[in-house]
Amino acid sequence: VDKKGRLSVHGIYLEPAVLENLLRIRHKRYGEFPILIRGDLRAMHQQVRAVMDMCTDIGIAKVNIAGVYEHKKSDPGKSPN
Amino acid sequence: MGRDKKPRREADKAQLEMTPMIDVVFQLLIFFIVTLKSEDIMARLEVMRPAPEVAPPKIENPDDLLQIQVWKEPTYVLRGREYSLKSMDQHLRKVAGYSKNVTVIIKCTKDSPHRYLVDLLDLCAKHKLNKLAVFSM
Repeated sequence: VDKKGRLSVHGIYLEPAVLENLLRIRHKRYGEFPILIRGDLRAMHQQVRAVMDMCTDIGIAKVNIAGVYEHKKSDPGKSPN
Repeated sequence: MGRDKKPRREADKAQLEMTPMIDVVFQLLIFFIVTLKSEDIMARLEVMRPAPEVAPPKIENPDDLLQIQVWKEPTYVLRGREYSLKSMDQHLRKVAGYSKNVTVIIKCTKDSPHRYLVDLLDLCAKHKLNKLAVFSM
């Protein structure tokens, strides 16, 4: 979760609905898997909570959260050129 | 005419009778074999049995609960009192010095920055307060 509340997985921005669908499919296929929510320290709790709620809805009860400080860099999900 | 003393023959000399002695020895041997009790090895095993009375359920002392609210401004509120990160650190140190079994309930508001929660979790970890619960308000 970046400081603006945008969600990304492995550096690729995703819409919340897409992420939820992705998690749901993965959960259905592999069962419970570890999730680490890396929330930017400047993000609001509400935004991190939304991801936690998403995991709970899918059936993943165990999630880890971490606080990170993302420095300015090229936008993830976009090519450097 | 006097009686002639017959010279004692070698066979007439006193000798130990072995037959009754063997009988007695065998009798004793049979007696000990029959009366010997072999020790039960299982008797030496320690068995933990449940106590006859179940311990009464532990009533959690309300003093063991610490409810901290995380706001956008002011940062932390505990029992109606406002705390900064530094003062919360000092307070948690005192609490941890008293008991490590304190349950810390963290209530975050929607618009509180994620940093405040993470900082508070770090403080709890620093003071080894491991019983944590996070709620959203």
